[in-house]
Amino acid sequence: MEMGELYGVRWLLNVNVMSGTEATSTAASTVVRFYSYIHGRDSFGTYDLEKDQPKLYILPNAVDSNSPAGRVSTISWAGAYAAKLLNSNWVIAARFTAA
Amino acid sequence: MAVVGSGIYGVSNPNISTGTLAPAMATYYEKVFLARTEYELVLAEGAQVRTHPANEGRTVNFTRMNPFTVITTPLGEMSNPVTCAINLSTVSMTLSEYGLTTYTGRFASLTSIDFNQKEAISTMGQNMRETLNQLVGAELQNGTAFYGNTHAIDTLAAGDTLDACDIRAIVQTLELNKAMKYSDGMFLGKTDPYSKKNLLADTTWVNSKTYSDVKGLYAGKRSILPLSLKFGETDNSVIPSEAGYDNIQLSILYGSLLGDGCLWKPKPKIIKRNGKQYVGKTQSYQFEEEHTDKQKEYIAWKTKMFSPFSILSEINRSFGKTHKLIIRPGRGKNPLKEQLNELHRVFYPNGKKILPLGFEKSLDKIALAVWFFDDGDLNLFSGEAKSFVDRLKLKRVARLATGNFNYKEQKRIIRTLHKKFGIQPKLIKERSSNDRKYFRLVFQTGNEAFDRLHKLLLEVKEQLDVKGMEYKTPERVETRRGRAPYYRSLRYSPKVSFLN
Repeated sequence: MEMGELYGVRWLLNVNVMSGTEATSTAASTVVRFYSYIHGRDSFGTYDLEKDQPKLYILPNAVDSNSPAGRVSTISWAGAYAAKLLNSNWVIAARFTAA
Repeated sequence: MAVVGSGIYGVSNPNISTGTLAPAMATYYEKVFLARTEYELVLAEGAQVRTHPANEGRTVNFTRMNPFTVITTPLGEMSNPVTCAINLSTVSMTLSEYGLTTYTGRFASLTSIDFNQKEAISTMGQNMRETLNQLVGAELQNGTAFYGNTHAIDTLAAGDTLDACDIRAIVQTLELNKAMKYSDGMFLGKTDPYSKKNLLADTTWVNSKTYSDVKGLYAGKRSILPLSLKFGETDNSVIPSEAGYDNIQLSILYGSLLGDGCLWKPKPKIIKRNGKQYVGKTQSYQFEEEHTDKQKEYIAWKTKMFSPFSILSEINRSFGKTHKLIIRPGRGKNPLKEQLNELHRVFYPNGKKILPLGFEKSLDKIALAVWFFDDGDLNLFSGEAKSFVDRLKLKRVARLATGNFNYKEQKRIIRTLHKKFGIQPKLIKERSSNDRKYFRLVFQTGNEAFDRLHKLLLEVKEQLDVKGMEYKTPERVETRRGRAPYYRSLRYSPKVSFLN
């Protein structure tokens, strides 16, 4: 979701909040940190595998050796995937607090 | 008389709905599932997307050559430049498998309100997107750490929320690290709702939305060509030429590429000098579109819209005179060139024109109208019309030639038109004179499909002062006695007002 832009950064909203605490020696470590990411082009990549890209597999009452009478429907997703930073200097993982 | 809200005294009624349910009572299950949150793969936006070939191992090593040291000391006379070793970095990526399964018994699936397990399938799809989003987020966390208010890991305090100062500092870090910007000249930021709330309250952010001259004020260019080619928020902003094509021009280009336009790169020129041949500079992508003499006003309008980067020339073909529009981005590195490169990347990923990814987001009113002006027509429905009376009864239809897209792409087009504009065309298969089958989208008059399209076409025609398209935007004729209105083309059509 587009939020707008400022100082040459175009902002998107990620509702899948990523947060946590970090191991530090001081009291500040208890502060929950919320992650924002700012990056440039070619800074990271997402990869999948030919013939095994993440997708849904739906077997409605399939008959096989595990279900000889076709009493079970299964819905799955599976696939090979990887995300990788290509240049960590070009991705800023910023930590902020909520309020 | 019974008291409102209490039972009737002295009467024992077994069919009450409190306590143990009487046999006649049943729990009602609403047959529509509650709305679910659907995550998008936001965090993967802006990533290099690649598919690793099968049977080639699970780990991929990428190699980056690090820049050489800049030498500022002059060379001594008759001495060789200092040597410098090539410095390479390797980045290793390993693919892993992920997945999840759920199951339902046959009996449950046949008695459940989840018909054909539609909701369960959709929820599983959501889980896939969430998981992949989370994986990307976990990897992005390995980037260069930054703490609110440029604090350190130990000193981050409750008040260190995201604000404009942080963005300035982050941009500075990225620029010092020589990070590359996207084709729209921007970095990409992704944040969560908590930080969004704080940022939206920041005065600098608010001011950037209040003042009209944001560019001058904060040196943060407006998004000219966002990464996903999202033109949805088209406005009438005047963009200086050095900033690239504006949103309207981009929408026209997008619609034209869906229609009759094409992007191609001329071969480098061969230069002959002193008896030797040299290969000239690599040319950049240019946009071309050619129309017959009938549409010369329309192509002249397009030329004007891209002035001063456009050229219109006349060509004498065997079938008659045509008019060709060429849009060239000019020499040197410039935003126009990058925008045309980006358009080429999305429209011709494998050299052949496709319905681009992100079409659902990028198609806006202007793009759709231009697409129709290019590839649409108005025709009598090509059904059986044996007699003159039959012909009079036939309804006029608008058609969009989408024959160069495959069946799946046709379905995507229909879904997008329905979702974004409420237009629901029909897909028909036609046969060309050489017996080739191809698809067309048909918008029948007399129903909302054409009414809405017609309204949109008129709106865009008026907004952009489109010339030469009167015959594709027919006059709507209201009829009496409660009959549906019909459309009368201003050209190519005799007066048929007596039809109704």
